[in-house]
Amino acid sequence: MQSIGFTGKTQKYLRSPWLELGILALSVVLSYIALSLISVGATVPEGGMALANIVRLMLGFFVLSFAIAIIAVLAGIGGGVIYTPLMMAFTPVNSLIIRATGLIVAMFNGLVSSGPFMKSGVGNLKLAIICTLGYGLGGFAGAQGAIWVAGRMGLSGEGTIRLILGGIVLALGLYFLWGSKKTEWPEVKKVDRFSAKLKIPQAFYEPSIDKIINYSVKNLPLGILAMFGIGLISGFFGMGAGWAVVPGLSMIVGVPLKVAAVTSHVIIGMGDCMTVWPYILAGAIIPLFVAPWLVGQVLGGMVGAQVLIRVRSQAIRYILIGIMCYTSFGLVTDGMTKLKLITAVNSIINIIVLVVVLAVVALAIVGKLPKLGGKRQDK
Amino acid sequence: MKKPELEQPRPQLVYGEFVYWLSIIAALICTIAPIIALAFPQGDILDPHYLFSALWKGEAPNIVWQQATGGFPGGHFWLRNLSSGDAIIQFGLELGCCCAGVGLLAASISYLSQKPRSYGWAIAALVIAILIGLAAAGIYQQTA
Repeated sequence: MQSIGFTGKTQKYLRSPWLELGILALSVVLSYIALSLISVGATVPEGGMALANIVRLMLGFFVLSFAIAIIAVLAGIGGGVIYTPLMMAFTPVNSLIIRATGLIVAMFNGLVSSGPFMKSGVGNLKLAIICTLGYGLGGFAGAQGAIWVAGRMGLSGEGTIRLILGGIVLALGLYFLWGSKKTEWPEVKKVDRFSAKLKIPQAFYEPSIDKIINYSVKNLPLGILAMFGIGLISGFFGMGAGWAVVPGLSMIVGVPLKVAAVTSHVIIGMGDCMTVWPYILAGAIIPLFVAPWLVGQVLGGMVGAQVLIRVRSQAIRYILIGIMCYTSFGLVTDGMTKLKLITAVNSIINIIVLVVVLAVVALAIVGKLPKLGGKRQDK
Repeated sequence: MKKPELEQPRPQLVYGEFVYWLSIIAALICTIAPIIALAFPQGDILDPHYLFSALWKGEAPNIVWQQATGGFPGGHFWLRNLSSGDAIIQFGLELGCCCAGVGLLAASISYLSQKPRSYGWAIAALVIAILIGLAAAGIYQQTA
């Protein structure tokens, strides 16, 4: 029976997940109103930043984090892969602090989506646990390595890390453009004894083909080893690693692509809970700086998952590739400047590159991009 | 065809619930605590004025802590300063960073309480939870 005064639709918004989403969104709005009021007329100590500027920065970080979380959900990747390169390329903030915060971004993106994914049945907790053994330990080692390198390499280390990351991000952008042809339903011909003994597979319902899917897993020892390597890169560079975990699970372990994509979020959330601690205990996580990024990821992840998942489109993929290409340019030029290989890039050149990237993305979205390497551009 | 009801393993649901709600609580704490941090900056561990100034100059973490508070007080500094805004943020953050460990502990208990009991998976979940606990305790730590 419906309660008096509430329609069915209203009642829907008083239940999970809409209720907590509403409470969190309202808290964010009230919080930034309060912060703005506090900053009015506040005194500024000599050499410090004005409170009004701090509030503006925090609001900007929150909005950016929220947008990154939504783009990430729509593009089917983690937020860290956008956040870390973007911040490193276009802000003066120290790279260790950015990478540490990048792990928080990737982790909370994974954590908040774990609940619905576990409930849906597509996510597989047993698979996540066994893979986290490799991913988490690799990430922990990578994080320790990042802190060790940061303490010894100074400005040349900052430059080298930006250059390497620029190369990785460009390679990822090109991979998303041309190489992301994945097998949706990998064929498992032979299951090894170890994988069979663990009894990991669980059936799930696939609405697109209206069928209950049973699948098998293989090569788990190799899969755990691959996750260790992926964790190492993720922990060192402070990025989420969905771009590597998903193909790893699909191609090595042989799980369907949908299970791989969903379980990768659970693995990243779980594994980064281990990876992030060396950064916290070394002082690379700054509470007031991290807070807006964390909240933006949680709220953006929830909104993306509940409201916008239905509008996933090819356009988002092109926008993401554009972001990655432009970010890669920023990282490489900033890295070369820090290594004193070139002088600082003129802002006009930056604007020209941005306009070119925007034009290419726009052409790709409307399907007018010229054919490359004889391949057809998919619409 | 109506979506068929597939029963999900209970430990999986338990893990999902714990992680989901704890990360939302962590986000709520990190939403509200900055108000305290900026309203009463004199009570903060890190002076926000100098903190953001040092951050925006690209200073390394140890210099940021040095300029904003006189040195890094340790990752779990919130334990001794729960009345200050940034310590409350740090508490929320660490709560979120522990939530997978708590979820796995609950999942481990769930593996043992279901029929038939699944000792192997209970131990595996417990091992990851212990590893998260050890990482949080700072089994091996460096300063940045």
